Amino acid sequence: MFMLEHYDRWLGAYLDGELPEYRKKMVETHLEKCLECQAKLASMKKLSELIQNETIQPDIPSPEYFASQVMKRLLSRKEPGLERFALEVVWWLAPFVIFGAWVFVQATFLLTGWLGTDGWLKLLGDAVGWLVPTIPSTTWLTSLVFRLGFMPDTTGLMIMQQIEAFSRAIFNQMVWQISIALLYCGWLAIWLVRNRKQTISTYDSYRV
Amino acid sequence: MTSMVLESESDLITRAQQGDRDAYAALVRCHYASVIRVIYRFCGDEHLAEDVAQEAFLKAWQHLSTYRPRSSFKNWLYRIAINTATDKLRSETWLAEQDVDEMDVPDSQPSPEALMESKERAAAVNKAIMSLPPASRSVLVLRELELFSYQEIADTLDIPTGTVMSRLNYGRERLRELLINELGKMEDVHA
Repeated sequence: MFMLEHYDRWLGAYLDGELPEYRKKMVETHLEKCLECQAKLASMKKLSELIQNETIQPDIPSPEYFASQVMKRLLSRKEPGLERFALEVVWWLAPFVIFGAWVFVQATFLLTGWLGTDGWLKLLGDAVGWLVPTIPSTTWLTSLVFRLGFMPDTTGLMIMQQIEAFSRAIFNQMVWQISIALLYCGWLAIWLVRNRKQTISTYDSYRV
Repeated sequence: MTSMVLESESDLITRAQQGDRDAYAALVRCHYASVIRVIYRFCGDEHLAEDVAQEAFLKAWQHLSTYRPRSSFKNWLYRIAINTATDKLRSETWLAEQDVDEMDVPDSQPSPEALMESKERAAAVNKAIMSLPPASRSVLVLRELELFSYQEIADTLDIPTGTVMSRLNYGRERLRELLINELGKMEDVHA
C-alpha cells in the first residue's frame, strides 16, 4: 500500500513564507493530496492568530521617563569609556609589537651570524645577552644513541656531532621564533572569534 | 525616508560610541518600547520587563564599542535584551512561583464576560509561551510577535537558520499541546 511521506517539518516555514521556491512547490503539491498535513497547517494558522491576537500587551512607560531612568542608572555606574579605549588601543597595537619583536629577533640573529656572537654582543655590551644565552655544549644525541644500545662508527659519530652543533646554533632562534609565532596565532585566534559573527562578541556567555 | 532614519540612527550610534550620552538617550527613546515588549513576552511581568529593559540598555551602553554597523542595531539590542532576560529568569525563581491567576493582565478593554474570557485566554497563552524552554521561547517570540524573518532571528540570536526552524517547530508543537490541554476548547486550533 502506498504511504504518503508527511511534510510536518516544512509546514511552519511554509506558513511563514520562508521556503525556497522548489520546496514550496513540493509542499503545495503534497498539501493537495494530504488531508492530515492540511489539518496541521490550518491548526498552525489558528495558533499563530491566537498568539498574535490574544497575548497581553504591556503598559509602556513614556519615552522620557524610561530614558531618564536608564540615564540615571548609567550615571551612577563607573564610566568604562577610557578604560575600554585604552584596552582597544593595546589590542590593536599588539600585532605590531609582535611583528617588531620578530624583526628584532631576526636582525639580532642575522647580525650574530655575520659578526660572530662575540662581535655582536660586544657591540651592544651585554644588552642582548639574554637573547642569545650560551648553550652548554651537550652530546645529547650521542648519549641517546649509546643508551639505546647502538654503537655508531666514526662517520656516524661525526654526523651526530654535526647535528648536535647545528641544534645548539639554532636552538635559541627556534625558541624565539616559536614563541613569537604562538603569540601571533593567539592574537589571530582571538580576533577571529571576536569577528566570527557581527553581533555582540562580548555577550557570548549570555547566549540563549 | 528610510535612509534618512537609518542615517540619523547611525549618526546617533557613532556619537554614542564616542561617549555622547544625549545621543544614547535618543537611541533609548527610539527602541525602548519594542525592547520592553520582547522582554515582557519572555517574563510576563511588566515591572520586571521594564527593569530588565533598563539593565539591557545599560549593558548595551557598556558594550557599545563592540557594535559594528554591519548588523542591525535593533537586532543587536534584542539579543542583549533576550540574554539579559534569560539570565534574570535563571537567577530568580520568579517564573516557577508565577500563577496564571496572578498574572499581570492590564485592564485595557471594557466589557463583561467577554473581557473575562479574553483575559483568561490571554493569560493562558502567556503562560504557555513562558513554559517553553528559553531557546524556543526566544525564537517563537521574535517570529510570532515581532514578525522577524528566519534570517533576522538567526542574526539576532547568533544561531543557524536551520536551528531557528527546528526550535520554532518544537515551540509551536509544544504550545499547541499546552493550549489544547489548558483551554480545553482548542478544537478549532487543532482543526
